Amino acid sequence: MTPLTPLLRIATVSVLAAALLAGCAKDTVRYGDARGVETITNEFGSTDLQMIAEAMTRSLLDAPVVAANNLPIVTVQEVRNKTSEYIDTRAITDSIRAELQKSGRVRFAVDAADMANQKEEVDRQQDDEYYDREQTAEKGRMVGAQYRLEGNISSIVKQAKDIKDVYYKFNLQMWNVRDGLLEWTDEKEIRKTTTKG
Amino acid sequence: MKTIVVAAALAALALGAGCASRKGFEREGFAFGCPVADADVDSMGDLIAAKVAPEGKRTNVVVTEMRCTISGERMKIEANLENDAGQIRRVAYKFRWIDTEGMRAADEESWKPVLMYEKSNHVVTAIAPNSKAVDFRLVYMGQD
Amino acid sequence: MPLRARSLLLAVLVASLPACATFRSYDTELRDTLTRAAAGDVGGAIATLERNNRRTRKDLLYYMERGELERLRTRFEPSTDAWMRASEQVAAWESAALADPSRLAGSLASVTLNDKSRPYEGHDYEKVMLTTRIALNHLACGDWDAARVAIRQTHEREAVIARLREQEIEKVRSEAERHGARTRIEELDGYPVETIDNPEVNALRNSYQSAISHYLAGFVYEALGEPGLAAAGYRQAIELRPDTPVLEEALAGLDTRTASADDGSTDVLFLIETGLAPARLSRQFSLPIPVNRELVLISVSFPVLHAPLAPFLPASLHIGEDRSWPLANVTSIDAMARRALQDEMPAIMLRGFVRSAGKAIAQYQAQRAARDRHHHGDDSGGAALDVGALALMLGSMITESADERGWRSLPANLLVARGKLPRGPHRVTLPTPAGERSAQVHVSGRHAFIALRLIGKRLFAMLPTVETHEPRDSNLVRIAPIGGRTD
Repeated sequence: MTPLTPLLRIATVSVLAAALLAGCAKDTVRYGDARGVETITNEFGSTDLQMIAEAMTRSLLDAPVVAANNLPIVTVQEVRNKTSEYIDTRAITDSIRAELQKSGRVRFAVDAADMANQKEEVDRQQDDEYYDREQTAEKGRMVGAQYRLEGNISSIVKQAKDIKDVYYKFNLQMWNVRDGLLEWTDEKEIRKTTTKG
Repeated sequence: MKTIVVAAALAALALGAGCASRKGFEREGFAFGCPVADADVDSMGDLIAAKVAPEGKRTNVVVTEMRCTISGERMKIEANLENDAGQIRRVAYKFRWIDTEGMRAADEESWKPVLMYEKSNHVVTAIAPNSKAVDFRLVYMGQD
Repeated sequence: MPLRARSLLLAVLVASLPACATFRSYDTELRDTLTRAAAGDVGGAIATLERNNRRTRKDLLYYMERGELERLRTRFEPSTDAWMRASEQVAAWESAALADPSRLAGSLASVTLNDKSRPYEGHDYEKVMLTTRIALNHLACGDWDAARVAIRQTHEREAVIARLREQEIEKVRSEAERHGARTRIEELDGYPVETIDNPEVNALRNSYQSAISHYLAGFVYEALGEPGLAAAGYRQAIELRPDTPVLEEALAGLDTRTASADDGSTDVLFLIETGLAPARLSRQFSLPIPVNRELVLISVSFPVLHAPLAPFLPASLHIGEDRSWPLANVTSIDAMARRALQDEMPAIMLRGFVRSAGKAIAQYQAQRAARDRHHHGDDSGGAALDVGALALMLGSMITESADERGWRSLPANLLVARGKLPRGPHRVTLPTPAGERSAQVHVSGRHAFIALRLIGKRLFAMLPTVETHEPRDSNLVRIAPIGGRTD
């Protein structure tokens, strides 16, 4: 045991010191600006999401179909993620939809992802005898969309020793469901560069 | 340069308040298409001073020009940012939209970062989020 | 010094060797635990694990192994609980390391003593596997939303590790230069370099990202109706394991599958896990240390990798009588562990170098003094100093034994097969070296996930309600120790 004792003591002291140091480090939590410019890493971030959603909404509101003020019925389809980054494209389309809805110029029909929930609710009202027959949602009353929104996001990533460059391109299109014509399309580009050191 | 300024000032004085024919001031309560209500706006400089609000970190990037139009029912704005320095500057900007009551007409926008090369201009454009927005402020800050 | 006195001193020194038992031999502990588990006695394995971890404050390793053993006996709740505890410890390490990256490249304790005395922080691939395996538990219980949370944690953890390791590599390199240390494994005479530096290991992007974690992420996102995220998962998996048809088909068919209506069949993903993760074993090597422009060889322990079970990769999975699906090996934790050691070796060697520098000087001086005495014809004094040098060497053997710790109950290989099956019960059969093993599974819904684990001759089906079909004569599978170990 003897040869170890001094070493063990050193170890104990250093472990204790480490524990104390860890104990001293106090975390500070603060609220930040949810819409502030975020440049922590060059992965797809909150600022990119907000900029894209805002640019697309404003541009779409200027499209003739919407500006003509005849309250088009739109459904949001998938924005395809063509990058290898985990970009929540649903979060982007949700933001776009919320902004458009707030403008009061567009109405939204149930999209494919929410259809199951919609059907379930109609079925539930239909099947449940506790509901007032006069007011329950009936089958065959849903309104189909006149236009569909779809898009994609792609990226080009270049990396060298001390520099990483990411270029994102977000493209959104509005198609007329009846005649298949492209009514509106717009793009938003973002370039971000990280340099080390 | 000085003579032009003096000449412009003289011309403004000569034409007086009812100068409907002066370029940029054709419509009452508007300067270069932008709503100014009853503010005392007689020049591009006045308009910029009334509409631009630096926030947070100061930068020597300045707004030099600003024009507005109405597209559909919504206001459309173009503003020119100028970087006079010999270095790259980064700024972030956003618009605040104001309704007829002087209240916010829409949620706060996100900050939009802009990279400005040495000795360069950059035009930022914006469309109002809705038709309630009848006035605006351009807010910007340094990002360096 | 007379001969008898010298041998007495030696005897005392040798007798003090068991003192190193205060440092755990992790391999010895785990070999017994895993042998029991592989024989099907998971309860016994857990009891052994408990016996070896009596302290109330359990460490990361305990929770990792405990979670894995509980999973083997399909007790998913205690398994997830144990892994959550482990995950909390990893999260604590993450925030501490992010706040102070200098902690990483070797704390004070490890420089003065050896690596084993450092608190166990987990290898990077273990940290990533931890949240992946929590996701597997949630899937086994049918909780896809909880699985999605664990998968997101995996992405976040990978990002943190990537940032930290980048900083660490730079730091180790500059520190090594400062000390004039040799940190290339080729410098270690007799080190089995090819075990950790071979084409399979070098083909990995890094030690911690695995195709299975990302493929699983893709599958879960797809099942939850998020093709945008699913595409990223499949794409990452393809990048991590190129030229694997099952991964490429997943991405290519994503849009079609998302758009198609429910046809009454189930998209089933089978995960077959085989074997056990390799063990780190302590071995002694001569590390050259420059003293007075001369290289003194100091015996230092370094970890080498050893696979406890011969690798077995079944080629296909049989479902019912007429279906046979090819199995693709998408992730080898064995290779990841080897890559982790390859990546860690410069830092381990740097620490070994710093620790041994003092010993090298002492040894150099003792040798020179002995040489001088021999020259002057004073034999007895020379002998005493020889004993002194020997004592130094033995002392270094006591304090020097490499860190053997690691999550040992992880599987060595993860294979997948995916396809459509009619809803209802199916018998899946897996060919093994010891004959066929089968399990009864039940699939329902549009997507289903089924995990099976093969350790030695035993098949474990990780389903909440399942009956495995085992032949009665399942012999004990020994987790082989290897000879020539130093402790």
